[in-house]
Amino acid sequence: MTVPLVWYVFLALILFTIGLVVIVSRHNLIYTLMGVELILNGANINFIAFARALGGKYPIAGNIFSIFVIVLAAAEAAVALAIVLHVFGHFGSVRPEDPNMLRE
Amino acid sequence: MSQLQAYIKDLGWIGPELVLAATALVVLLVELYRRGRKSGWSLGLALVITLAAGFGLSWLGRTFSAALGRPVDLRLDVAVLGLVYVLVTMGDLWFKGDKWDRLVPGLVVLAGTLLAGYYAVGLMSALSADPKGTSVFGLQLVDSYSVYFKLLALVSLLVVTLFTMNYRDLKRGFGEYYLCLVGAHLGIMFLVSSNHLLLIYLGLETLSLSSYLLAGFRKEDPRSAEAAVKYVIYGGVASAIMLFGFSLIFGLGGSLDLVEIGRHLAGTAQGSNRVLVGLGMACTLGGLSYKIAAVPFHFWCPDVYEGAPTPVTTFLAVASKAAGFAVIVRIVAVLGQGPGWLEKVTSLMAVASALSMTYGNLGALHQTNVKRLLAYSSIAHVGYILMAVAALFGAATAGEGGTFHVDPRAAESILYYLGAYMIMNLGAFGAVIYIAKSAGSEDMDDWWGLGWKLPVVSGVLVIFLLSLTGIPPTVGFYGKWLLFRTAIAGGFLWLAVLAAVNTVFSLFYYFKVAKVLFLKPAEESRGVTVRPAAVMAVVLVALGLLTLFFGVLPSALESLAGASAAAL
Amino acid sequence: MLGGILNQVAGGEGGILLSLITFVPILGMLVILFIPKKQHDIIRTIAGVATGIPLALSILLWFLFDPSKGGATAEAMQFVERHAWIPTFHIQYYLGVDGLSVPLIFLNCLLLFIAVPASWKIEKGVKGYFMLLLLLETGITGCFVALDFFLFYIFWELMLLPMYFLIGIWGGPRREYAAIKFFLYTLAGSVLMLVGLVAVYLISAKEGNPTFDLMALAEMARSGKLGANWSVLGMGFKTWLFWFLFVAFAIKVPIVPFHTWLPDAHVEAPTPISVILAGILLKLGGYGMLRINFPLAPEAFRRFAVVLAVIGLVSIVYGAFVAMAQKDFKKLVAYSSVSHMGYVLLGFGSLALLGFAGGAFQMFAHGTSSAMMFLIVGVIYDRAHHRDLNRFGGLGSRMPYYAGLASVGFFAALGLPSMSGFVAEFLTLIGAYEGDHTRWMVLIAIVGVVITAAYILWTIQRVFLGPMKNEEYKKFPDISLREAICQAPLGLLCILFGVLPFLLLDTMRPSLEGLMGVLGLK
Repeated sequence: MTVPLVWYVFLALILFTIGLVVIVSRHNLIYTLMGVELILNGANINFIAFARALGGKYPIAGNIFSIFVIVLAAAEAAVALAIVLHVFGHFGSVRPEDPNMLRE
Repeated sequence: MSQLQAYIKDLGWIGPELVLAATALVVLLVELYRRGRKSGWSLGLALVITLAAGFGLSWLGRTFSAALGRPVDLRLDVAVLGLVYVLVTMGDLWFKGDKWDRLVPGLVVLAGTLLAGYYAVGLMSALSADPKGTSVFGLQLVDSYSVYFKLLALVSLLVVTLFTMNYRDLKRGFGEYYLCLVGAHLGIMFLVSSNHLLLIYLGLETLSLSSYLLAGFRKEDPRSAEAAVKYVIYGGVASAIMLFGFSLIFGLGGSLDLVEIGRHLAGTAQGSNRVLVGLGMACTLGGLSYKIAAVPFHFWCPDVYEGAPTPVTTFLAVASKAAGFAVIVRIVAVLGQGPGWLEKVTSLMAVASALSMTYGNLGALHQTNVKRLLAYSSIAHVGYILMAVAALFGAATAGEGGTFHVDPRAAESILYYLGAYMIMNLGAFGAVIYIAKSAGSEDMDDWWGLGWKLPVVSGVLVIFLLSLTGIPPTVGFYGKWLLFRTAIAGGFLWLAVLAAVNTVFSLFYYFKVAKVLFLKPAEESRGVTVRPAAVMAVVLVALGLLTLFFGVLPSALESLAGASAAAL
Repeated sequence: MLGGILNQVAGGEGGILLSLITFVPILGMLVILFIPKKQHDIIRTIAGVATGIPLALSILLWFLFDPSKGGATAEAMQFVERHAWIPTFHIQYYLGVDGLSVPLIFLNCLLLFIAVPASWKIEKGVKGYFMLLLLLETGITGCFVALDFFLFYIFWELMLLPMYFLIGIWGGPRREYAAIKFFLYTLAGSVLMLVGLVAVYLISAKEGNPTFDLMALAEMARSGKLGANWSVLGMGFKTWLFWFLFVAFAIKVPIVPFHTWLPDAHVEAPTPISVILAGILLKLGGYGMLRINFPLAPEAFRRFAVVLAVIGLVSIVYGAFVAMAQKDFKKLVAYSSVSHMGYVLLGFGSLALLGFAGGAFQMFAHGTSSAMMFLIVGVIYDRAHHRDLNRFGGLGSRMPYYAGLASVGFFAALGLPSMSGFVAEFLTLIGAYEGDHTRWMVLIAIVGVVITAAYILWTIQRVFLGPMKNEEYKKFPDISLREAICQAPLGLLCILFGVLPFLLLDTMRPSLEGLMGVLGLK
C-alpha cells in the first residue's frame, strides 16, 4: 500500500513545528542549532516526497536538492558551532542572553 | 556547434563569476605562501592559477565575443587586464613586512575586481540589445537585471576592499578575510542571476556563511563575537524557514524553476491547497526578509552592524541588502502574478514597509553609537524600498491569461534606489571609519567639534547625510522621488504619506551627526590622534561627488536601471 | 556693440542672463573652496565679487525688462531659458521672469551683497560661512526664476542646508535649537509640497499631458482639467492641493499659527543672516503662493480667499500686540515681521487688483525696511552685547548719525507716509475695502497700524531718547562707515519707493493683471 502524499507533508510540518518550538523555547545556542537542523530535515522530507509524487520533467530534482541541503546544513553547522565555540571562549556561556555587550 | 564549443560559450556568460572565483583561490594561496610556509607548492599553485586565470579568461573573452558575433571586442582588453593581474600578483610576492601583509591580498582582490568589472560592463553592453539574455546551463539567468546587480556587487567589493586596506583594527588573517569577502560576493553574483530555487539557495547560503564568518572576524573583540553569534543564529533559523517555504512551493508548483512555479500557482488562490501555498509563500518571503532586515525579522541588524568590523558592516548594509532585494523582487514578480495572490502578497509587503519605515526611524532617534544609528536608518530605507515592491505591479490591471505583470517603472525605481543607496551608504560608512579612527570612538558624544579638524571628510559626510534624508540635489532625493511616484501610481498613497512623514523624522537624527561635528568649535573637541590614510579621503570625496552628480543629472543611472528593469 | 552683447546675453531663447544670476554665486563658492582658510580678506573679497556680479546683472535685468508684456502666463514670461533636463518625467530646466519676480530678484541680490560687508566681523570659520552664504543665494534666486515645479522644489530645498548651518554654527546661545526648529518646520512644509508635486504630475499625466511646467499646469487648472473628478474624504482634489501647497508656503511667510520658528530663528541667527531671513526668505512664501499655489488651484483660491484674508488679519494684529510686549529688541523686530507679512496675505485675500498690488508691494517694502531694522539692531548689539530694550536709553545724544539713520528705518517700518511701507499698507487696505467680503477687516487692520506705530515709537523712545541709563554707553563709537553703507541703500529704497511708488508699481502692475486673469478674477 502506498503512503499518501499528504502524510509526508504532515510529517514535514510536524518536524517544522517541533524545530520551531525548540528554537523558541530553549535558552541554549546548541539546542537552537538542533532546532534548525530539524526544520531543514523537514524541508528535505518535503522535497523527496514531492519529487516522488511529481514525476514529470525532472523526476529526481527534489532528491538532488535534498543532497545539496544536507551538504549545506553540514557546512552551516560547522560554521555555527565554530562561532558558538568562539563566543564560549569570550563569554563563558552558551545561553543567548549572556553576550550582552551590544546594547541600545 | 559542438557540445564543447557550446559549453565554452556558455562559460563566457559567467565570466565575472569565474574571475572572482579565481581571485579568491589566488588570494588564499598567496597568503599561505606569505605566512612563511615557503613551500614551493603553494607558490607554484598560485602562479599556475593566476596564469590560467589571466590568460584563460582572455581566451574565454575571445571565444565569447566571437560566438556572439558582435562588435563587442573583449579580446585584447581582457588579455591586457589579465596580464596586469598576473603581474600584480607576482610583484606582490616580493614585498615583505607587516604593512604589505595587509596590502598584498587587497591588491590582488582589487585587480581581480577590476577585471571582473570590466567583463561585467562588456556583458552589460552586449545585453543592451537583448535584455532578456540567456540561460547558462539552464540554471543561471544572465540578463541585464542580474548584470546590474553584479556591477553593484563589484563596486561594493572594490570599495570595501579599499576600506579594509585602511582599517587598522583588523590585525591578521587577511587571506581568509578576503577569501570570505570575495566568496560572499561570488555568492551574491550567483544569487541575483537565478530563477532556479537551487541556485538561489546555494547563492544565499554562500553569501550567508561568508557573512557570519566576516562578522566575527575581529577575534580579540568580544563584541565582534557577539555580533557573529547573533547573526548566525538568526540567519540559520531564517534560512531554514525559507528552505521549508521553498520545499512547499516546489511541491505545489511542480518545478524548481520560478517561472514555471509562478505559472502553476497563478490560479491556486481559491484552490484546495491554498493554505499550503500561502504558508510556502509566507515562509519564503519571511526568510528572505531577514536578509534585508525588514521588520519583523530585523532584530539582528543593530547588534550585528555595531559589533562587526566596520568594513564588514559596510558590505552587509550595501551588497547583502541589494542581493536580498534582487531575489525578493524576482520572487514577488513571479508569485504575485496570480489574481488571488496579488493582493495578499502586495499587502504583506505594504505592511512590512510601513512597519520598517516607522520602526527604523523611531529606533534611530535616541542612538548615540553611529554604526547603530546607521543600522536603524538602513531598516528605514528598507521600508522605503518595500513601498515600491508593494507597488511592483503598478495599477494592477490584468494582462493576458488573467495574470498580472510587473510595471517596469516600478522595477526601475527599485533598481535606481538600490544603486543610489549603495553610493550613499558606502560613503557614510567610509566616513564613519575615517572619523571613528581619528576620534578613537564610534560614539557621537566623543565627536563634538571634530568637523573643524577633519573638514573634508566631515563635509562629505554631510553630503551623504543629506542624501540619506532625501534632500535635493542629491541622488538620494531623486531616488526617493522615484519611490514616491511608484507608490502613488500603484495606489499606495497612504504609504507615500507615511514615508514623507518619516522623512521628516529621519532628518532629526541624521542631522544630529552633522550638528555634533560642526556646531561646537574646534577647541572643544578631542584631539585627533591618528590620521587615516589619504586614500580613504580620496575615495570618500569621489563618492560624494558621485552623489551630487547623479543628483543633478540622474539620467545616466536612471537609463541603466531602466534598461536592467526591462529584463524582469 | 554693447547692445549686441546685451541682446546676446539677454535675448529670448538663447539668453543666459537668468542662469548667470543664479549660478555665479555657486561659482564663487567653488573658488572659495580652494582658498586656504586663513586668508580671510581674500575670501571676503571673492564673496563680495560673487554677490556683486549678480546684483549688477539683476539691475540690468530690471532695466531690460519690458513691463508691458504682462505676466503670469507662458507668453508673457521674459528672458526664458528652456532645456529638457530629465526627459522621462518631462522635467525641464525652465527659467523665466515677469514683473513679480524681477523686483524680488533685485532685492535678493542687493541683500546678499549687503550681507558681505555686514559679515565683516565674523572671525571663525570664515571660509565655511561665505561658502554657505553663496550657496544660499543660488537657492533663493533659483526659486524666483524657476518655472518648472520640480526645478523650483530643488532650489527650495537647496536653501535649507545653508540656513541650518548658518544659524546653527554662527548664532547665539540657543542656536542649535533654533536651527533644528527652522529646519524641521520648513522641511515639514516641503514634504507637503512634495506630495502636491507628485499628485499634480500624476493628475496631469492622467489628462494626457504629463508635465511640471507651471505655466502649462496653470492653463490646465484654469480650464478645469486638473483633478476634476477626484475626491478623498469628501473634499475634492483641488481643495486638498490648495491647502497642502498653502501650508507649505504659509510656514515660510510665516503666518499664525505656523510662525513659532521665526522668533527663535531671528533671535539666534547672526545679524546678516537675520537680514537675509527677514528680507528675502520670508518673501518666498508669498511669491510661492502667487506663482504656484493660486494658479494651480484657482477655484479653491477664490473660494477660500476670505479665510486667507482673515489669517492675514490675525497675523497683523497678533504680531503687533506681541511685538509691543517684547523686551528683546530682535524679538520685537521678528514679531513686527510677522505682523507686516500679514498685510501680504490680507492683500491677496481681498481678490482686488489693488489688494494684490499692495501685497506684492509690501513684499518688497518689508524686505527693505525689516532688513534695515535688523541691521540697526546689529549695530547696537555689537556694542552693548545685549538687546534688552529697558537698559538702553539716551543713545541719541551720543550716536547722532546712528540715531538719524535708525529713525529712517523705524519710520519705514511704521509705515509713515513718504515711505514704501505706507504705500504698501495703503494699497492693501484700499484693496481690502473694495472686496465685499473683506470690507470689515479694514477697521481691524487699522487697529494694527495704530499698535505698530505705538510700539515703534515707544522703541525709539526707549533706545534713543530720554536719559542715559548706563554710563558705559557713553563710550560707544558712533555708526561706522561700513555699517552705514550697509543700511543706507535700504533706507534710500524705502524713501524712493515711498515718494515715487510708480517706479515699482509700473513693473508689477501688468504682471498682476495677468495673474488676475490666470486666477479668473477679471
